[in-house]
Amino acid sequence: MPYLLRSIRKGRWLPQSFPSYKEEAFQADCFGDLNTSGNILSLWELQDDFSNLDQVIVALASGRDYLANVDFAVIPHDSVSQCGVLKKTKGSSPYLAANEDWHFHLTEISISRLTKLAEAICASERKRIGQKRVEALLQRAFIDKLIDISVMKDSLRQKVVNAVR
Amino acid sequence: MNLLLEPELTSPESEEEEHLSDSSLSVPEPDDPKVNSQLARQKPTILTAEDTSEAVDSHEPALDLERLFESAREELFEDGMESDFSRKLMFLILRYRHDALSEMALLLESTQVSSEVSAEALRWIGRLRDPQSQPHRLWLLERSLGNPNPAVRDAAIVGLAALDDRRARKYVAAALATESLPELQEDLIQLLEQFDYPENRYALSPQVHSEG
Repeated sequence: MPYLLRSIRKGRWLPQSFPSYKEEAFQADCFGDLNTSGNILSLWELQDDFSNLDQVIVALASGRDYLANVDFAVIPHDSVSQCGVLKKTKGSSPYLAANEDWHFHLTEISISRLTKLAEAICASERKRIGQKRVEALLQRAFIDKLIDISVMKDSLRQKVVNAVR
Repeated sequence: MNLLLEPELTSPESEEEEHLSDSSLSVPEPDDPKVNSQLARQKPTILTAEDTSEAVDSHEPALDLERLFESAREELFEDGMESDFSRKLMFLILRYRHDALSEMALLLESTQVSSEVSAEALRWIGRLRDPQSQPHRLWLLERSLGNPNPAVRDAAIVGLAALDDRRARKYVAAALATESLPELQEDLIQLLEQFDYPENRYALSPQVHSEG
C-alpha cells in the first residue's frame, strides 16, 4: 500500500507570496482541506499501479451535490502513517465496493500531526481530474451498476442517469 | 426541467428553455414580487425567502454582493458541494446579471476580499447556464486568469472548464505563456486540450488519460 489519496482543492496548495515573507510559502488556507472531525480524516488507498484510481474518483464524485472536478493529493503511505493511526474503515460513498475495499481513516490526529500531514501533502503530487472526465467516469459506473444511485443527491443522480439514457 | 433535478444552474433563456416546466426558474427582476415564491420552490439549488433575506435586502447589487462576500469569509467550501454563499451568489447574478458581475469584478481585485471566497465565486459563475450573462461571465473568468493570487487563478481555470466556451481559448493560451506555477500551467494545458479535443474527455492524470 504505497500511496493514500486525500481529496483536496488544488488551489489551496499553491505557493503564494506574502508581503511579510521574503520567499513564497504555502497558504494556511490549505488546512481547509484537513477539516478533522473527532480528530479523524478520511483517505482512500491507491493500489501500487494506480489501477483503482478511477474507482476512487467515482467514490468521491458520486457523494457530492453536483458534478465537478476532483482534486486530490497522492501521499506516500509512510508519510501518512507518521501523522496518526491508520485504520481501514467502511466509507460512506454511493460506491459500496470501494467503501469496503479502499477507504481508510487516519485517527488520533493531534495539531502537530495535522501540520505534519499538511507538509506531507505539500511535498506530494497533487492532481485534478476535470469535470468532463468525472462525468464520463460516473456514467460508466452507472452503466456498470457500480454505484447505488438511490443514495446520490437528486441533482447529480439525474444528471448521470439522463446522460446515459 | 426543474432546477432541483438539474445540476447545472440554468436560466430560462438557455438551450433547454423549450423544455422547461412551469416550475422552472424564471429570471427574477429586481422588484418582481414573485421572486421569493419562485425561488422558494427551487430549494435547495436556489434560495428561499428566508435564506436570501440577508443577501438581497438592499436591492442594490453592489451592497448586496459586498455583504455576501464579507459574510462568507468564514465559510468552508468544498468542490462539488453547494453552500450558503453559492446559493445566494447565483440568486444575485440571476437577479442583477451585468450589474452583479461588474461589481464582482471590482470585488475580485480588492485585497479586502478573501481569496477563498473569490475562488468559490469564480467556480460558480462558470457553472451557471445563462446565455444572457455568458459573455460577461466569460470576460470575468478570462480576466481572473491574471489575478495575482494563484488560488484565484486556479478557480478561474476551473470556472472556464465548467463554462466550456471555446471563445476563451486565446486567453487561456495567453495565460499559459505568462503563468509561472507549473501546477497551473498543467491545468491550463488541460483546459486547452478540452477546447481542442472535446472528444477526449480530458483527464489530467496521465494514467487516466491513457486509458481514455
